[in-house]
Amino acid sequence: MNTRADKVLRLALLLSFILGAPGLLMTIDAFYKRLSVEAAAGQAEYLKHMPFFIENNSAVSAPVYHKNLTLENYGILSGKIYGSLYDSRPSLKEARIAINRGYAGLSVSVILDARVRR
Amino acid sequence: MKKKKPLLIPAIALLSLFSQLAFAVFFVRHQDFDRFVFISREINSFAGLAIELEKNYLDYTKGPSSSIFLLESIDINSVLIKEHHDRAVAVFKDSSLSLNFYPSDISARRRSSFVFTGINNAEFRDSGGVLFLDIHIRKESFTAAYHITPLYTRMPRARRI
Repeated sequence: MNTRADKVLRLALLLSFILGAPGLLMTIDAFYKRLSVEAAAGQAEYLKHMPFFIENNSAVSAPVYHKNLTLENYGILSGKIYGSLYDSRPSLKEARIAINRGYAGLSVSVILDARVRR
Repeated sequence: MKKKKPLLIPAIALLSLFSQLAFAVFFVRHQDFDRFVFISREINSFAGLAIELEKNYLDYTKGPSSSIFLLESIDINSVLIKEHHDRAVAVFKDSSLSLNFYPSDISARRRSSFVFTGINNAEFRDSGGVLFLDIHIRKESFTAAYHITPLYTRMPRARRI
């Protein structure tokens, strides 16, 4: 078990694991990151229709009002939506949708027309 | 003297195997998610232009398994033609989600049809202004939302449909 070939094999296995592990972690992270983007986009679509759902300088938990299977089924994902006045204009509202995936998070900001409901 | 068992190689081999397995699992999950994204984008290309959801069209009825999008027809210059409407129908039946587009007689859009197979379940939820689509592909479940508005926030582009 201590021939030169064995040592090379052992080293190759170790290297393949060391090099493969970050790739695996990146694959898993990419999956949850893309899920987060889709979940945030879904929430943005809903808020376009209902900008009054979020108030200025306050936060609500995502999903807002309606169930969202993407956020429901992947327990690692959790979200909050922060509302604020955009550019000091009462007609515009900025919603920052922050989706957390445990160790990291991403946020998507949308500018909503707060004047009309539809 | 008792010979020491070499544990390093089996341990590393096991770890490598486990990481490969995890990689394969997430690769498949990525594929399922990609399918959802593709379906969602296709539906959004109709829903983004829809002015409302219709209750009945041909043999289709709006419900949890089907949705009928009403779009204003366009001419070859992508100008809207009032009082003439195209319809896009999304129907879930027998593990497949089909997306059929029916243009009006004078519309510049063309008839098209897509069928997405291998879907465990698809359900439409209309909340009046926002249409939700829940899709179950294998063990994965996703929700997409489409904002349906008569105001043209997104102008029609002929190349979309």
